[in-house]
Amino acid sequence: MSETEGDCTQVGSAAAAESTADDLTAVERRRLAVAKIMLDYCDDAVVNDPLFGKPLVGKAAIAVHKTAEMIALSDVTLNVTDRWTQGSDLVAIWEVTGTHSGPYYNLPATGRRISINGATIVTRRDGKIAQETLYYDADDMRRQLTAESAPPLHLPEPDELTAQGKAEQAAAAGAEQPTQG
Amino acid sequence: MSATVIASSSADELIAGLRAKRLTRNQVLAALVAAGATAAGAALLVQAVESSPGTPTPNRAVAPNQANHLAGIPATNQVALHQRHIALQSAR
Repeated sequence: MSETEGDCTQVGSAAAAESTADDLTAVERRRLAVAKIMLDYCDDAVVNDPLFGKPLVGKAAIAVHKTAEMIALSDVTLNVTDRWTQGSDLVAIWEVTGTHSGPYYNLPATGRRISINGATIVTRRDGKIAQETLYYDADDMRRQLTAESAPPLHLPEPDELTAQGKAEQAAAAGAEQPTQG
Repeated sequence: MSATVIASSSADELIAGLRAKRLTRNQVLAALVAAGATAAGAALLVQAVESSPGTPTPNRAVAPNQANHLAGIPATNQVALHQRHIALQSAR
């Protein structure tokens, strides 16, 4: 089966994902980076993240959350310290560090270095990620991202992320259409 | 649950068993190590699970079933695919 058959079709512009222009804005670079990452997910992929407590279903929601993470963190180091396969799953033990240099949903940047340890279990279908389940201390992550004077983290509902992601996809598709006249 | 069944379980199934208290911590650690985890890696996974009560329970219907779980994806390819995924996540 090719990578574009079945449920694991490519979404977004593969041509855009191949672009390597040096003069892209930060927003365009981020959009491009997320588009490349999203090529690795099935359309109906599920991400189970303790931060939400509910599954993120579908590329649109996952892409919006990945974008939020990219906006919030810079100088990121993602270190996989152990990895093995087990049955249908791949298990990765990881530690991520980064600087909280941008807003994370409603939380303003703190400028602090943050560090989180955890594990991910990945299940693939036809070579693409069908389900990704993350285990880490979400309360600790919230504490690290929240300045003393800041309100608590307020996350959108997963279906709100889906709606936002679909709207952004539609807007991007519209922008790619050649104009007449 | 027999030792054979435990040993052939997926990681998700082992974690589900641990969270539902159908499996002990030691049973899960032993099964993880038997599957190829280092003792340290297995311990870190269990520790991460225990620190993450809010993680939604994975939906096994999303994943391929055990009979064809690796169809088309040899274990070495799974690792290579994951390495590529991490490289993409790190490139910003």
